[in-house]
Parts: sequence; structure tokens; C-alpha cells
Amino acid sequence: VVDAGAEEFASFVAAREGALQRTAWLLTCDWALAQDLVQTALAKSWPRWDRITRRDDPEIYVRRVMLNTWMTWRRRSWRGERASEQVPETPAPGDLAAEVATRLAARQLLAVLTDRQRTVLVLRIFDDLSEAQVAQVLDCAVGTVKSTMSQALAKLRDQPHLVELMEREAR
Amino acid sequence: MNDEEMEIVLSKLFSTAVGDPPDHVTLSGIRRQVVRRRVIKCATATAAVALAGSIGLTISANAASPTVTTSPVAPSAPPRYYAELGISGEANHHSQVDVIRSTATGAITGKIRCPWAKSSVYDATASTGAFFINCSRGELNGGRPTLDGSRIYRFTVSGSGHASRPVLVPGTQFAGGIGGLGVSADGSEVVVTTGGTGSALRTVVVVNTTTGAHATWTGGILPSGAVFNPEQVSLTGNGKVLAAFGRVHCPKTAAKGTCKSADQEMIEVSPASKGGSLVHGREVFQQSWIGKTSQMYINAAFINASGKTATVGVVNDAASSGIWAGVVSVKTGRVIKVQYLLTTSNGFSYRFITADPTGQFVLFDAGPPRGALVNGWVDHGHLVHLKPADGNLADTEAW
Repeated sequence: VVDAGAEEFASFVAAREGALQRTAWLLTCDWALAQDLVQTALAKSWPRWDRITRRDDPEIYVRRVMLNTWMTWRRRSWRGERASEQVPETPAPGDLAAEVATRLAARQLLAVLTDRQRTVLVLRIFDDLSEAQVAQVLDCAVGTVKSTMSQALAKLRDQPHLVELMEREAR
Repeated sequence: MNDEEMEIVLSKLFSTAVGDPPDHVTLSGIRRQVVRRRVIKCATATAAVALAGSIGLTISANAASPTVTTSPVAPSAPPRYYAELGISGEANHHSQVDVIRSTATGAITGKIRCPWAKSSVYDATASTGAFFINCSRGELNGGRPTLDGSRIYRFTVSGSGHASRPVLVPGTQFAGGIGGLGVSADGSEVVVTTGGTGSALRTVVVVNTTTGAHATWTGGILPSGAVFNPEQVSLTGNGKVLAAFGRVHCPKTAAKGTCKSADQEMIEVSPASKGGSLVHGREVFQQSWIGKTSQMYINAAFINASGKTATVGVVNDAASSGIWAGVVSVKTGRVIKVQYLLTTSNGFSYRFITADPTGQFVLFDAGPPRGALVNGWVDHGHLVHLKPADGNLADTEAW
């Protein structure tokens, strides 16, 4: 289907799909959705791969596509139950209780934020991108990133039970 | 809890919560989706043209491309290629292997050779866009190698991973061996340590890669009365700030109570091109600020391009039972983040902990005292394995 830059694209997918999926999980809180999101972003980027690599940092571009796709999905999505042929929760090795508690804590934290705030927080804190890089991904001003980040942290600080969770995590 | 503390806690919480994806996104899956998207696009375009024709309009077939901007920001993906200095794993046929490998596949895409006759590659480091190697040559004197000269060469790697022919960096022909090779991210300055045989302190030499001009920095006696001897040297992105990490010890001649040793310490000085005494520089951190000095040892420490953080590699840390790579604030000297921890419980084996010029992408090669060592790069607290799979076969890596 697409031959130009195919090898380079394959290398990018092999190297970065894991990291992109982790970011996507923090946005969607669902591994299946995260995988769909990453695959869709990569499918949208592949036909333009040559142009992307000539003009831009490919990862910035793919992340931008991923976030825009997610925003579109959020606007369209039906928030009801999701059909599944499998039971979503499967047994996991290790300390399941602790893992679930941590995952729930992260979900609770992210749930109080708007989509934009959640995106900025994930890109800045989890992906360790600079403010300039986040601005590049979101196609906005650095000042907007700073103010959104500040609003996100202030909102989290206003949640007493969430602050307690974070302090427990800090210990 | 202030913003900085909150960010650290959130980072930890997110990293713990995310874990590993249960499945991979594969190229075949993406390919199927691309085909599906094209089929849908064609069907939609046909319908649109039919509709436009019926109402007498024309439409453009050009798809709008997203707005793409470029700016000089730090990379968000690891370098595509890395330099590996190591040995072959073939039984009874060990030989030096100095190669460029693909980060994604581990395939060897280029070979590194010293152009200087009879010399070998001893060390490698990288700026943004170029690799720098230390080529040294020597002789065996009574079974012990003695280096009689060292030179630094620069080369680049093409988009397909081929290494260009190394070019001598002006002003980098040194008598004897050199250690502690570092380079600024912009490639404008390189820094090495020289000397240090016997009881002599090492000298730090900063070389301008365009003019070959030298600036010399020396160790000496700190205000605490202890002697600072530089070992590892690094530069910030523009080469303005020099960071020297080294051992600190009390001289035997020091009277009781007049000397306090920090064991290990990082000092920064600026401008790096000025030269002078390192002991007049600013103390970035001491070993005891990172952990209990009786329980750990810092094997790697270098300042990052921004000058705001330093990367450290800590071994034999009894508190965490292992080896870890972390980020230290240059302002406060405290650990901001542990990037990767490898639990080895009892003892350790260490090859190297290095990073790209930004300090974002750490290369980690270490493990338990016996058996294979892990070799990989750190991605959000997870180790992405690199080749050679057995870290014992790599002496150092750079990217």
C-alpha cells in the first residue's frame, strides 16, 4: 500500500509503539482503546511518512495525530457500556490489589481534569516533554501550556481525597 | 505540596499505574487500517464528486495537510543509531567490535575505525548529530600496555546508519592516554582528562573544536581541606559550563580536624573556555546528598545539555538493593527522579550508564555479579533491550 519510507516507518513503530500506548492509556484509561488509538494515529501518519520525516520530528507529529484523534473520539463517543466478547478483567500476576489501587488512583486523578488539562499533564509529566514540545504537539502557545498545566495542578490540589492519595504515593 | 513535588509524585504514580501494554501495535494491523481508510476515502470522494456535479459546484481533490511547525526543541524519541564499543562473543575468538547499530532493530549499520595508524577506539561520546571517538595507541611494556598518544576524531552517521570517515578534531593530539571524554551537545567543545599517573592529579582540558584552542582546569585543595581529583567531565549544550566529577580525599599530611572528605563530588565552572582551578567552582552535589556513602557509590555523573540537571549512575546501593540511573537537580543537588532501578540484591557488575546530550535517553548496561548483564535504554522506567543482548559484550555505548 505504502512503500516510501516503509522501512523507516517500521523501525519507528517497533521502537515507539509501547511508549505511545502508555501515553494513550493515560488518556483513555483502557488498554484496548489505547491500542486502537495508537494504531489509528499510525495509520493516519504512514501515508505521509516521507513528508513528516522531512519536515518535522515524527514522534511529535504522531502524538499530535493521536491527541487530535482522541479529542474527536471523545466528542463523538457514546459513554454507555461497551460490548465485549471477553470479560474485561483478567487475572494478573503480582500484587493485584496494589496494582489496582494505583491504577484507580491514577484514573481518579485524571477524571477530574478536562481533556485539554489531562493531555497537557500527561505529556509534561509522564512523557517528560518540555513546554515547547507540548505546545508543538498541541499546536498552541507555550503560555497556554503553562497556564493549562497550572490550572490542572490547582484542580488536583482542590481534591482533598486525591491529595491524600498522592501523599500516600509520595511515602 | 508545591508544584515540583506534586509533579514528582504524579510522575511516579503514572509510571506505576500504566505498566506494560498487554499487546503490541503491529505493522500488519496498521497496514490493514490504512487500506480500509483508503477504501472509505475513495468511496466518500466518489459520492462527493457526484453530489457536487449535480448542484454545479467544483471541489478540490487536494487533502489538507496538518499544519507542521519546526522548532529547535529537544527530541522526543531516542536517537535512531548508537555507537557500540565492545567485543565479539565468539568463543576463543574475541576481537574488538566497534560498530553503529540501529536502535530499533539492533542491526549493525556501520563500522567505526580509527584512521590513525596502529591506534584503537578507546572511548566514544556523541553531540547532537555527530559522534566523537578517542583513538589511542600504545605498546606493551613488560606485558602492560602503555599509551603513547591519543587523538579525538569526529564522524557522522547517515540516515541509513553508515558512519562517515572520522575527521581529526583540531587541537586534540595528546601525548599519552586520555580519559573522561565529553562533548557539548552543539559539538563546539570537547573535554578530556589527562595525566593523573601516580599521585598526580588529573588535568581537565577543554578544546574548541573549530579553532583547537585549549583551556586547562586543575584539581586541588577544596575549602574543606580535602583534595579534589577530577575523573569524569561533561559540558552543557552550548559548551559554556564544565562539570567535573571526581574523588575527594583528605591528604595524609592533613592535621586531625582540618579536613572533611566528601568522597565523591561534582563541581561546575563557567565559562569552560576560561580555564583555572576547579576548586573555585560551585559544588553541585556530594556523594552523601545522593545516598549513604557507606552503602553506595556513584559510577557515572555528567551534566545534561540544559545545565539544570545531571544524570547519575549509582551502584551497590544497599537502600534500593541495586543499580540505578537517576536525575539530580543542579540547583539543589538532590535526586529528582530515579529513571531506572535494577535490583541485583547481592553485589553487582557494571559496564556503563550514559545518556544522549539532553539526558533524556539513558543507556544502561549492568547486572548481577555473575551471568549476563542487561543492555538497553530507559523508556519511562522500562528497559528497552538493545544488542548485544548480553551486556558483558559491550564496553561502552553512546548516542
